[in-house]
Amino acid sequence: MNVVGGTYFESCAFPAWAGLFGSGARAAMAVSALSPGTRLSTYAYAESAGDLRATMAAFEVETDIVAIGERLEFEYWHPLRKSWVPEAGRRYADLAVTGDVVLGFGMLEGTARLTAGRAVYDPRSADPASSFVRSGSRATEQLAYVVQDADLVRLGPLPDPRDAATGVMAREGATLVVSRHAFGGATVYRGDAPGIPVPAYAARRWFRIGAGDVFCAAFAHYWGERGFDAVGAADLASRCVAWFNDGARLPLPPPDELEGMEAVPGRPASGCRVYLSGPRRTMAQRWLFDEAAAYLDALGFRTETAFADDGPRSPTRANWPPRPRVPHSALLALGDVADLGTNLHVGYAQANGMPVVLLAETASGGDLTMFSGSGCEVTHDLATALYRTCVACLR
Amino acid sequence: MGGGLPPKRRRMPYGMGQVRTGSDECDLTFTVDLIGVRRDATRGLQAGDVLEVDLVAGAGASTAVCRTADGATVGALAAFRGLVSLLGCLDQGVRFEALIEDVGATRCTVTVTRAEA
Repeated sequence: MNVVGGTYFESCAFPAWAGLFGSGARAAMAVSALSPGTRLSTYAYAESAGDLRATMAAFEVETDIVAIGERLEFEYWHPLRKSWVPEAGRRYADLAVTGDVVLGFGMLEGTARLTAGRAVYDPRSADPASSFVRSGSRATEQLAYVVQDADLVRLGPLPDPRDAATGVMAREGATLVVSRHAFGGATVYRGDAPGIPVPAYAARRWFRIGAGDVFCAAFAHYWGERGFDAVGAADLASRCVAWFNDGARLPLPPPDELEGMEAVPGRPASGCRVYLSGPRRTMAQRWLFDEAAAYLDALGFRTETAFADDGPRSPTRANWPPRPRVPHSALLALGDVADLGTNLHVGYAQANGMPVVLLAETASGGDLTMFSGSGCEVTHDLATALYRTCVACLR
Repeated sequence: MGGGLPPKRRRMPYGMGQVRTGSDECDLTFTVDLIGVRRDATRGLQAGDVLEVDLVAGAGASTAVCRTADGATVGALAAFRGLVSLLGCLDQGVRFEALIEDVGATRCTVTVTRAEA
């Protein structure tokens, strides 16, 4: 497969992680074992070009690197929040790539110009400048346009995703549009037919940085190279994302290692309820609490605080937990084991049969034994805690 | 007072994913996640264990890998700034070791330093 996309240094504070990836390098490494002879075309900071070349060589990926002077880096506080995004600066000459199957990504430094039999293209933004057609690219057989949910509705004047997908197909000459969901899974649109949902698959952790790149890489391999139908390829790509999210694992394994994964039920998140419990006495505690609530809201989940915002912190007064148990609900406990009130809520929830996900950033060993032993799910970073809470609700 | 603070680079996590050089060009220290972690090789490993760093010759390229004392490959050292320096030093015969900072079935974080002679 031919992959064209950016290479950037990426780092994350919680969980601590860093590496020389970006969409192009990550996607090429992802399919390196599935698709021998993969070739990566990319821009890369001149001082990192050798490191990138050596990295790709270790996975038998050939490289065409255009060295650039800008050191472009992405930083994340946690996998859901970028803390630094480089600005697009100087634009370099197009990267022109020709092949039977080409996977292309939108880039900050220049334009990917694809000539392919089957092309898979992810513009990485809703910027009209990232358009496949406007770049001079063409697919002689078929084009699959892969976009995030949020970008799909921004791409066209119509707010309905199906209408937006139809618009993209008409404008870009795409055979199909695959809309990736933030939580995992996707919807495949072909022609003006209703979208076909592809489930998300549950992972133990939610690393998420680069999950879209992995989805595109796997989809391009199974749909473009192996000839799977689009829904089957998207299903395998969704499984690959779950596999990747559990520790940023690359390269991707063969399909038989993706069997037996748990599909997350696709019911609307709005029908689920997440109860949040955690101390809010300090600014740091309050920030964490509000951050969790904001991202749960963004994922479409209804959130409620287990304690009222004012008044004494009494479960009885707060009339919590609700009885009988609200279907599709879960408690997310942010107390890191140390907060008495949160631990009380954990006990109430457990006694009421409500799933509990605990965020334990500093607690370890014996401090967690009672919680894990009593059925709480213990997580160690915020993104995973949010994700596992959502999975618990959706079940 | 109008406006907020301007965006500022935080450069985090400190030192991860890039090589720091000490007294000479092969006095390298860096912390990275291994790539392609092999689940079977991580069984029995724990934080504080030390892995060997080996250079493996491949088709036209060399790869740095971390191995257990039994010789099982745990994963590759790749995708970080300074990889070329590490490969060059290994090629000169300089020995390195990898201290496991954190390990699970699917992730292994190591700090690599030059081994004492």
